[in-house]
Amino acid sequence: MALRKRITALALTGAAVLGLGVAAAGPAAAIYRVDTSTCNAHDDYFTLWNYPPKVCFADNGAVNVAIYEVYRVDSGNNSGYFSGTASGSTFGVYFSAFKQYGGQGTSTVSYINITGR
Amino acid sequence: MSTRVRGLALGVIAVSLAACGSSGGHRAEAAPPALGAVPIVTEPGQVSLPTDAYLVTPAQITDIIRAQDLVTAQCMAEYGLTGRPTVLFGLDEVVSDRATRSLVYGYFDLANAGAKGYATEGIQQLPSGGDAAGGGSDQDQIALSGADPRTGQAVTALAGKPLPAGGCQQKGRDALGGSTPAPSVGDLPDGGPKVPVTDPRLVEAFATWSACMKEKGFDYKEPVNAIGDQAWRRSGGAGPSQQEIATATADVACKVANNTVGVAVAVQTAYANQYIESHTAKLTAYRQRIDDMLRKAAELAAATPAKS
Repeated sequence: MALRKRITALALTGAAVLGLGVAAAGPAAAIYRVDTSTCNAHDDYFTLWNYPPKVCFADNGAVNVAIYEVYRVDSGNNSGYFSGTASGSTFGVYFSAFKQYGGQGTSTVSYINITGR
Repeated sequence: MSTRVRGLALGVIAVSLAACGSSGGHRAEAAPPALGAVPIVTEPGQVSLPTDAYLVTPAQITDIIRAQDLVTAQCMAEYGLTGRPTVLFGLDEVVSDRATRSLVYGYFDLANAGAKGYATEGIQQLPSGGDAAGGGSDQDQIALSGADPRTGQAVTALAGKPLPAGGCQQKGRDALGGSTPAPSVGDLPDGGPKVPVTDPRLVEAFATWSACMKEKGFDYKEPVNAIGDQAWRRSGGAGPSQQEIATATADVACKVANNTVGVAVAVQTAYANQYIESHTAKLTAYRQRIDDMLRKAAELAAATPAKS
């Protein structure tokens, strides 16, 4: 069941990211989701791991997303902020370059703001 | 590994050059800005840049997010749901990381290199939900994000009432004036100053650092290649390897021995001064936006009865 649900979550991820991308106001709102093959070939993107494949974002800006069962986040060469929900509560994580976040459990990420260096 | 590291280096160069072309007409072939005095930097606390004064502080960010939470909770209540305050992680660390995890000079965390290597761990565990989706009920998710967790599609109404685009979280951000600010230089207009790694002063300083590393048995062309080495990415709470600790220790030692960070700070300062001069109006507008957010946050806090 877990695998089936994770795959469902993955499908949702793509739809949500592509369908619900709502960039916040500001001239730097150029963040975009990187396609899977490019994502797999690089290590400098902001990367969320749910179940394979991972989901990558590049460039600065803010976007609303709906990415489920995220168990790890790699910041790549980016800094910024992401937020999400777990157990109905909201959390926010400020992140720095070259760091990993998480490793156990899963969360839902609903907002990403990459501010660069 | 070397290909990946090379790719990262090229990526940084490409980003820097591209950014140069988009920030006020600064061309890659233009003469680099003159340096002022080169400080001797032997610890992260000595790193300061002219742009620091323009950055939003953790306390200000906390005030803004608390106010966003108030609006989000009011929005949630309209649908019979309970909004909860955002639990914040990493805010103070991001501020200290500005000096210890640089995209210009790489790693400079003398306090942690010997025990934690490149200290790549952020928070060990993301907040986790009890269900597989990791985030409360579907209704909560829909209200917060404006997306249906089962279909991934935007939801425009909930409980018979229209739902704002992006959900109640976005309504909270919009009420404060847009995207949540971050205490990093990249949050500044046009992404802050761009420092090309092709700057000849950096090229020379990094070559000296690289030679020092080579003498210690480590082969990296630029500092960012060392901190960005894929070998340091760990999972499952594993600690740093002896190799990582040895590399990180050599990395910071070579920087102290050769004043690599001092040179980098001097170069960054030169570009930062150039940036501030060419972005006066945008920086004023940026600061005004933050001040407006803080004013709205104070008004919202004052208008909301405190819960005991």
